[in-house]
Amino acid sequence: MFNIYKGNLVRLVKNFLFVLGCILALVITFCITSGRFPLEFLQNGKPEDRMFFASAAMVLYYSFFTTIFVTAEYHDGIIRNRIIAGFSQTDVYVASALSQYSAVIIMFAVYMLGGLLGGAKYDAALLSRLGIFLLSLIGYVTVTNAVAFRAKNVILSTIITMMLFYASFNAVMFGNAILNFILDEKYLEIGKAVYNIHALGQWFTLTPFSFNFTNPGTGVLLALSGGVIIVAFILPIIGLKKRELK
Amino acid sequence: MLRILYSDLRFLLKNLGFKLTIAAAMLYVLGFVVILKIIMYFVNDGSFIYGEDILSAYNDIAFIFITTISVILFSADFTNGTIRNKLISGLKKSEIFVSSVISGMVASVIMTVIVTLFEALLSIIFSEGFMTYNLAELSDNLLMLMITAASVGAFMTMIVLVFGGKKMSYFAGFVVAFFLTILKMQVTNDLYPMNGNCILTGTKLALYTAYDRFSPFMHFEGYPRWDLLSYTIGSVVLIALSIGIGLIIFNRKEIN
Repeated sequence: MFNIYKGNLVRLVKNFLFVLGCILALVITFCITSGRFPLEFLQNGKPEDRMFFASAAMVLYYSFFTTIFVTAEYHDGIIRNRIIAGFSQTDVYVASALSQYSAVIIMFAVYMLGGLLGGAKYDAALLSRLGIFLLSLIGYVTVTNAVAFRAKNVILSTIITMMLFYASFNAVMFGNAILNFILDEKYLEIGKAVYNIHALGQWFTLTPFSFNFTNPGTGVLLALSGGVIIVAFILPIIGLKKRELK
Repeated sequence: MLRILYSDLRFLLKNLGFKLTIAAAMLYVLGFVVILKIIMYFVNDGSFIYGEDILSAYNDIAFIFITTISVILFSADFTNGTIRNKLISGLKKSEIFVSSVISGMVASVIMTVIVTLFEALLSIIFSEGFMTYNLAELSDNLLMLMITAASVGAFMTMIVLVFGGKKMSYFAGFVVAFFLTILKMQVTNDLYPMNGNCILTGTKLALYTAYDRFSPFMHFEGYPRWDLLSYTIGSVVLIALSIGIGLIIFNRKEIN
């Protein structure tokens, strides 16, 4: 499994889309944080807030990058050759998930560098926000990796993950109204948990525009991301060994 | 040209992905109505769901469904050799492109009509009726949505074909659709703020107003804000631009 992971990492750093994504993460974060790219609603905010706002782009990026990178396993008999070489499908899946986590961490480091160059000050509050969001992004990537690995087809997986992204986006819009106007005290905590179960929900909760009623607390946010990672990581393994490969 | 158009339309009508996308759009609308009903039940402040609310459900997410159809119908053509076979059979690239764009437009219109009629049916069952619309206005609205869907379908198909054969073709349409959605929210919010009056002035106001009036990406709304002629002009211009720009790029494109 470790050999597959190393192979995936080599493929990752040579991947044009990934390199382009990292360059964009650096440039866009730098421009937004330093105020060179004017976003009217953020111009009066602090550089740290502007930097954090830019992080949502990574959720969109991993909605398609993961599917394209992971479904490549099924092209040209790559996965079949790995099975012939003695690896199980579970090994290939775990290595795929780990390489995606590495991709997220590398891009996140580049994004943080962009923020630093743009003038953001890394105080405890910003680091805490970034840490929480990083874990929720890893949770999101676990889901997209699972979808891509089980769906196998690049078009189908891209459509599913983009739909997932749009569903998350709409959930934030609807969620604000539902939490604010509808849910009473009895259901509010459940509502907050559902709102923050996906990365875009947590992102919005951590932005300066968020409303107090969407934040269930740091512990709950971390627990939600941890839960998503565990469930989304384990579910696709069920029945994986018996799956037929063409 | 007519033969390939017939073949593309036949492929479209028999395509499982196309049917499933329409089913998904209808399911989305149904889910929207159910959630709206639940919300109204809990709010319980004497307000009602009107037909206009239900009619806006599909419009909010129409971009993504139209993009999905374009990706399903045309992105695989480059990898499974369909385009190459069409070229070998003597067709010109321009004929292939125009036929695909027309098919994309037809697919978008079919989906929009089916889902809008489904919304109308749900409005009859679940709402208190239409607050402002009469039957003639509903028909006008459907006609406007059909014209808009055709132009957006042409644009999204152009994007998929221009990037065809590259990995970008799988997600370029979705990313463009997302940014157009954000732009639509921004323009709508600035021109018609929830609180207070519009504070835009000068060139920015003129640009935003022109975009709101003529851009088909602003026309997926439950409530038409401009006349049908403005919508038609905007849609025809977008179709012409999609075909014109697309043809220039597609004709120079190397097909593997």
